[in-house]
Amino acid sequence: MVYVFCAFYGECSDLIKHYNLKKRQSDKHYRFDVFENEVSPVKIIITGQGAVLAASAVSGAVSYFGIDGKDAIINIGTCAGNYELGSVFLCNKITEYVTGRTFYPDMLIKSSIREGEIVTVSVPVKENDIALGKLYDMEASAIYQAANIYVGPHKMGFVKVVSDNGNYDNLTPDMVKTIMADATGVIVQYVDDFVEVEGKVEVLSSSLDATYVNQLCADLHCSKSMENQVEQLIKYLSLEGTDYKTYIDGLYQEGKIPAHDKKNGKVCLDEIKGALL
Amino acid sequence: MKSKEHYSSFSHIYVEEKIRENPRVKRILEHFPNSNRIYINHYKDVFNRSKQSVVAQHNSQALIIAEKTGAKIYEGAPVCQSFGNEHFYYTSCMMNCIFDCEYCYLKGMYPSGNMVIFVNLEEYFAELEGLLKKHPVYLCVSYDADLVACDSLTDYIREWIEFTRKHHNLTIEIRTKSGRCDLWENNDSCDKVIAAFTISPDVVSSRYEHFAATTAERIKAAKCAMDNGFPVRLCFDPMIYCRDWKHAYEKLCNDVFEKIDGAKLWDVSVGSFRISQDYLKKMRREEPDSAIVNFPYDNVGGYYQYPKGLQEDMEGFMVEKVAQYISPDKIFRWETQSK
Ligand code: SF4
Repeated sequence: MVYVFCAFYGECSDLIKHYNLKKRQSDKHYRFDVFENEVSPVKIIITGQGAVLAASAVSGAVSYFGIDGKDAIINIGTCAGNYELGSVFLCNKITEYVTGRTFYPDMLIKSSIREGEIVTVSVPVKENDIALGKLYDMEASAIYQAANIYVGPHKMGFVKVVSDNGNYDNLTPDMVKTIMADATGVIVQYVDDFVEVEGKVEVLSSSLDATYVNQLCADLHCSKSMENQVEQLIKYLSLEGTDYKTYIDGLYQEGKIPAHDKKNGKVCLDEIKGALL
Repeated sequence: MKSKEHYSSFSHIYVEEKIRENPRVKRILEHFPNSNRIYINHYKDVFNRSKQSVVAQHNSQALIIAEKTGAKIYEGAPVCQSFGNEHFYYTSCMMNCIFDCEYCYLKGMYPSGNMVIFVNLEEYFAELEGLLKKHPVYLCVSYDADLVACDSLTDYIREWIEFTRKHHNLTIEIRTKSGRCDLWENNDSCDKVIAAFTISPDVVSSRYEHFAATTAERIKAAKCAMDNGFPVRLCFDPMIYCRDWKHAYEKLCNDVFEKIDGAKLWDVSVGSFRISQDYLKKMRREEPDSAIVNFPYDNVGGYYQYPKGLQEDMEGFMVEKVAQYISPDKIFRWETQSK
C-alpha cells in the first residue's frame, strides 16, 4: 500500500478525485482525515500544517493501518522557493532547519520530476530568507523521521510544488488548488510508478507452505532448533525447484514418518537432507 | 535485478562538501556528466541511514564520494585466508561493489548497498608506511569491494602497484571477478602484486554473480596477468554448492588448466562458502528468494558453513583436482589454514 500524506485537502483534492477515493468515516482512534476505497493501492491522509501534526499523522497511521516495511510513504504538498510557481520537485535532500539534521530518501525509481533540496521550517519562510536553489516546507523532515522508524528510505518519496516565493500572504486556498491541479498529472505518474514497482517486489517474494512444514515438524517430533532446520531446508528446496514432496511422501508410505520419537525424527531429517541436497 | 523503472547505477552521486574541489573527485564526476549531484556533510549521513534495503539499492546503485577518517588499514579477520602470512592486513579504499553476487557478505556487513569511493588514498599510504617501518606487510587491497572493476573511475590499481614497487617489504593482493585485461597489460608488472581471480563454474557465475565477468573472461584475464609478469592466484573460494557440483567444478578445473599453466601460478586457494551468522541473518531478510542464502547451512561457532561432510567432499574434491596441475604446497585450503 502507498500512503500519501498531505498537509491540506486543497493539495490533494485532484489526486483524491483521480484515484476515486472516498472519505473514511471518522474514528476516535485516528483523528486525521483519510481518503481510500476498497480496491485502490493508494490511501491519502490529511495531516494539517506543521511538523508535529505531520509526525503524529504518520505514526498514528502506522499503528492504525498496520503500516510496515513493505508499504511506502509519500509526502505531497506545496513549498516556497525562488522558482516559477507550479514547478514540481522531487526532494533528494531534506534538512530540518532547527537542528540542521539532513535526511536522504533513496532516489531509485525513475521519474521525470526535477530534483531539489528542501528545508523544513517551523514557520512559513519569508521572501528575503529564501536561499538560492532551496525549497521550504513545514512537514517533510518530520514525515521522514516518523516514517523511518518503520520504513526504509527506499520506501519514501517527497514531491513538492512551488506555491509561493515567500510572499505567502497573497496565497489563497483556490490558488493552491489550481497550482496542485496543474501538477496532478506528473504526481499521479510518480505515485503509480511507486505502486507498480512495489507491486512487482511483493509478487517476487515466495511464500513457504507453512501448513506442510508444520505438519512435517510435528510428525518428526522436532525440537525448536530442528524445526528451524526443517523450515530452512524446505525453503531452500522450494527455491531450487526440487520436488521434495514426492520423496517425503515416500517416507510417509514406508512408515518412517510419522517418526516414533525425536531421535527417529532426526534420523529421518538426515535422510531427507542426504537424499535431496 | 535492474528494471526499466529504476535509474541506472550512479545516476545519483553524493559528494562530501569538504572535498568538492578535490581533483580526484572532479575526475570521477567527469565520468557522469548527467548525474544528479547531492552535496553532503559526511558519507555516513547517507551510508548509515537506518532501514536501508541493500537489495533495492542495487537496482539503482548510488555513488558516494568521501574522505576516509580514522583507521584505514585493518588486521585480517578469522574467516579471511592469510596464505601463511604473519602480518596479514586488509584495507578498503572503496566500500561495496558494482557487481552483485547474491552471496556477497557485504550485503550482510554494510547497512547500505550504495558504493563509496574514498579519495584520500595518500593517507592510506601514509598509515601503511607507518606499519612498514615496524614489519613486513601482506595487504589485501580489494577486500570489501572490487577495485579492478571500478578502476576506470579511480585509477587506484596503478597507484597501488606503484606504491608497492617502492616498498620492498610490502606485498599486496588485488582480488577481482573482473575480466579486464588492460590493467595487467598497461601497468608494469611487480612480483609483489598478486593478481587474484575468484573463479566459479559457469552455473554459479551466471546464476549468482550478477554483472561480474563470465568464467571464461576471468580465466582469460588471469592468463593475461600471468603473461604480463604478475604473480597470479586463483581462488576457488567460495565454492558454491549446486546439485551437480562435482561435474561443475571438474569442468571448471579442466577449463582453467587448459588455458593456464598450473606450474606458473603463484598459488591457489580452495574454500567452500562460509559467512558470519549475523551477516547471513540480515541477508536472509533481504533476499528471501535467493536459494544460495537460504541453503540450510550449519552454524559452527557463529559462522554458517556447509554441513561438515559436504564441506569436506567439496573442498577435498577440488584440492585433489587442482593438485593434478599445481604442486600441493601451493594449494591453500581455508579450513586448515595450512598448505
Ligand atoms: S565481486 Fe566480490 S565484492 Fe563484488 S559483489 Fe561479488 S563477492 Fe561481493
